[in-house]
Amino acid sequence: MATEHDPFMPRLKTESRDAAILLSPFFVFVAVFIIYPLIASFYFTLNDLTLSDLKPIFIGIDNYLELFSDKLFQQALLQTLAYLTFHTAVGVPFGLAMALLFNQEFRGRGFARACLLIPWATPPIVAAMLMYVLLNSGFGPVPYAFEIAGLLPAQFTIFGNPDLALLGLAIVSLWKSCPLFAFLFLSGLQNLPSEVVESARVYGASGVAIFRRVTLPFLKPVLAVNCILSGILALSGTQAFDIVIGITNGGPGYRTYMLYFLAWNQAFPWNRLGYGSTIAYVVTIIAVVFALVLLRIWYKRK
Amino acid sequence: MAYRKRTLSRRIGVYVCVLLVLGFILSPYLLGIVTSFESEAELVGRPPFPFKAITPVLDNYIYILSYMPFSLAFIDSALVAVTTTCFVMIAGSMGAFAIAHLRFRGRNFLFNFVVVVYMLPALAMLIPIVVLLKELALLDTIIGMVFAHSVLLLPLMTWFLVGIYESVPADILEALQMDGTSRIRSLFREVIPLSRFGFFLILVFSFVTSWNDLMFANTVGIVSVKLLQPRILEFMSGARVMHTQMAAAGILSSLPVVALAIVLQRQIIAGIMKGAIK
Amino acid sequence: MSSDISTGKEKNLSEQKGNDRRKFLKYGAGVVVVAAAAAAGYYALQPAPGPPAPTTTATTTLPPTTTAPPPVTTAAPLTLNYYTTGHMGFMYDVGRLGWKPIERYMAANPNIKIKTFVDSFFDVYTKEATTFAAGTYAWDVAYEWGGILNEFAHYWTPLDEMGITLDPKVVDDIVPYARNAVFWKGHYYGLPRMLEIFTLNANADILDAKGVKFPTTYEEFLEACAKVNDPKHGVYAFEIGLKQGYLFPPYLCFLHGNGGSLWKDDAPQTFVPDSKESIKAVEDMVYLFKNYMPPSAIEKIAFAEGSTDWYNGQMVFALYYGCLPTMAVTDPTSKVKRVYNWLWPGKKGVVRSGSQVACEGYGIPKTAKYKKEAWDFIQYLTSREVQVQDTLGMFWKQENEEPIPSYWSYMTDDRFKAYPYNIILRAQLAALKYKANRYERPAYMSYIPAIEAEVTNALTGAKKPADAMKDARDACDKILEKEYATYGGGYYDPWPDMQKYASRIDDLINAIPVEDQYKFPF
Repeated sequence: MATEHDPFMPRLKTESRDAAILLSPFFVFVAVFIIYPLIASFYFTLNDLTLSDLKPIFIGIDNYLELFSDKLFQQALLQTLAYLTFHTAVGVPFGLAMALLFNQEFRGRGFARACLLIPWATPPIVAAMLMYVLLNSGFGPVPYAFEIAGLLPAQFTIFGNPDLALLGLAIVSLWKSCPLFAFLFLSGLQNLPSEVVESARVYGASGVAIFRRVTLPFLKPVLAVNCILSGILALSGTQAFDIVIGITNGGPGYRTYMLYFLAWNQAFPWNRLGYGSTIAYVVTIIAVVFALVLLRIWYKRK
Repeated sequence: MAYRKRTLSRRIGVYVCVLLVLGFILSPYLLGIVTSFESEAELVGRPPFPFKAITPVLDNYIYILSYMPFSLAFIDSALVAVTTTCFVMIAGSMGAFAIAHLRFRGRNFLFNFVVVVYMLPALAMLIPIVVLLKELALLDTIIGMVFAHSVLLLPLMTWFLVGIYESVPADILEALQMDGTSRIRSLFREVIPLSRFGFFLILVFSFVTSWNDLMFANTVGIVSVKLLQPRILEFMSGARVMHTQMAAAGILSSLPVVALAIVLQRQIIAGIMKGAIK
Repeated sequence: MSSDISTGKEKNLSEQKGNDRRKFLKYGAGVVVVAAAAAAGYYALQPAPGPPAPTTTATTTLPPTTTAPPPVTTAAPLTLNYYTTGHMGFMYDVGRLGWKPIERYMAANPNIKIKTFVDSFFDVYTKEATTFAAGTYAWDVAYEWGGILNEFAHYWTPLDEMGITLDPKVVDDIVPYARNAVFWKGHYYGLPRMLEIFTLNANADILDAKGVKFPTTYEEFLEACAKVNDPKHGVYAFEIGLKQGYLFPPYLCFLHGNGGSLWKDDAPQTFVPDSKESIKAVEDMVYLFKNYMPPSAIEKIAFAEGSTDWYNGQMVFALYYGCLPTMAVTDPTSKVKRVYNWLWPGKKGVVRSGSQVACEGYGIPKTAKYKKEAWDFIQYLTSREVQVQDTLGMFWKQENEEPIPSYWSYMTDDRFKAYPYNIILRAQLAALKYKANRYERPAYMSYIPAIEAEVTNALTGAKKPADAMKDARDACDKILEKEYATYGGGYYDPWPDMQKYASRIDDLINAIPVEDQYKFPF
């Protein structure tokens, strides 16, 4: 019939009205608690603001200009980028390897898979503390094991070593992230129909080729998500902050200062809210750029 | 012969790797559990466990469990986490349904906006949110804390739910439509039951995120609301750091979230596979 | 025809839609209302978290108290919120240790209920800063130290604003270092509760066994370290944590022991971390770290994380507040049985001793509800009985450091004459004769991390001490320039006032009897 229409063809008005009702709590919350603070915090970046004297003094883009001459900011930026790169370039492949391993048949597979979620669920502060107990130079079993094996000197310190501290924190963060990546990869792998792999094998394809031609393309969406997740966790998630403050507190020197940690320090102990907000926005920009680049790569391939 | 050898060595290889990986994942916890039963004097005396035998003591757990602020923080954290989860699920599922199945102006923009919002560091909005909560007289209240945590969760959970709803077969909705049911009603009637696995995912994610949060817990909670993670951080300072007590407190505070994640892992997997990740 | 049917159908549909929508809204509203009511009900019924119920009483015998309870102030019932930090004896106040002053106050003032809130020391700044900025009522009596008072002075209530003038005898009785905690630009904001000074502690049994004399100059200290250092058997000479976060106090001890000062006498009180003495101090720290300290010291916070090593007998000397001797006596897991406790030695011919002092007190936030009652409570908390009991209640557990009292007249209490209290008191009093500034000023929370970071760079070998401290100077210049522009300088320096009390300190020290083995020159 001419007037019959597909039930799902939008009748814009009523659908919009339904949508408005359903979306109202979401909208109200987002508008009040997300959009408004965002605008306010952006306004802060244009001001000089302290907690001791809550009167904002408008200084235009001086905060942003100061970034260029702030050596600590530049150091933190480099350290953040190094951390982010390591976290993603090492963490995601490791997660994939873990997932491939746990995809095999072995006894206790269910148990092993269940364990994958434990690090993710652990509160970051607890994770930091547990890893510190494991890795500290005074009574940590891991350095001690290396010591009696003769591979490391006595009381070898990771977190007290300027060159290794950031790596140590990255390892702590990877402990928390890799199993999560593995879990997501594994869920993706379960979707992969085994007949495809089987038929490829029957046709004589080697394991590596199967991996490259069949598995990897299939996992592309999960791979993209994991990379973005890694970026977010390394940059601005609680992992970036809680782990730093729990183990090294930015030291030794300023070697484990990352942008998120620096932003928090500027805002609170050093009482420069405007400047702290500015650095937080820089973190945002990096995160967004990182995600956009990844999405662009993924969409292009697709 | 060669064939069998290869598979045998391969199987051994698999088991070895699995043990290594499991060791990597579980060793902090295993060590933490042992540490929580040690006395501090024994802990710092070299060589460390497991290179020496230790005498287990219960002192740490007794101290933690009898330390009232810790127990109160535990309860408060649970309350905030549960309330946050409920709020996010209700508001999120309503909004996600609209985005998933209704056409309206600005749908695509909203969708992308949600993704971008998730990227934002909580720190950037911390002070404005604190000031806002104070204006609404919600600072240092459970409700205020719920809203603060929801800032971290609502956009992302809504996004997940969109993926889950989109996986609900369209013909079911079509049938309902022919039936004359409004879309809102069909949400409750059919869509939610069909996508309940997704809800488990949301439940676990929201609870875990709220429970593990430190930043908002530390600033929004002042006098009346004291949550668990700031309490754990307290152990790292003070006049003397008792690692053994810290370990006990850490283990206790991880139990609920870890248990939740493990117990519901099947549902989580189902929720992810059903298309939360798109 | 068809259009009629379709219109009818449409109308039916839209009507039904309308019905459904209304129903949904009703249900939705109902759910929201029920949820809100449940939340409100829970909220109203929830008991406010009060102080923990005391479980067991103190485990050592304390002398009985004979103080008359403080007088009742008002008749109307009220609740005072009291904010304190763990090391100020929170557990001592309300928990299982000691004298429980809060309980006694409430018993004496039945109309007043005191709710105690505690945070760890490192959180206090953030918590107080954000609470004050938010402008909400949170506490009537709050713990504070000089730096935070200076920076947020307008969030605290000056006593003269309440019409209170301190008795000049009370003012004179306050140890000047303690005055720093409650005095800002000519006004008093509260009263000090405690005073703590870094002193040198030694495991007496190990020293005696090796025939090593307790050192009274820094050179002797190095010699003693060389004699007792025995890493092959897991024994190190010196213990102090070197992790950033609490490195500033030890650095000040080394600085003062070299005869230095962190600030100049000029108007902005410029910081000079690159002074000769300061660089020497950092070089001393590097030397000690390399030769007489465990490598893991760089990962440990001040004394807090290394203390157990000292109690295990794995280290011989330790630099910290006066809590160590009591541990030797009271903790069953401690292997330390006797302690020598005396001045942190200075360089021979330069100065006898260098140290640093911590002092904290209580103030009344601007947003307090019951200021008069808050003031009464502060006076009680800082009264002779409470401060003496606090010192006596020293169980060296994480929740209770022990301070000494912050008033000269409290130091002569007879109860201090028992071991180990008297040797601690004697050592800390002697340390007060020498420069022990903490240099607190508004930018306290900014310059401390800057200086600590550079000292750490020197300790890890990332920079030479001279270069590191030059960078520290640059950082401090930037920070303090901003601070001076906002606050104007003229910060109270207690050291000149302290020197006026030198002979009084001598008298106090001589009045405290100790066995000869614990007597050292001062």
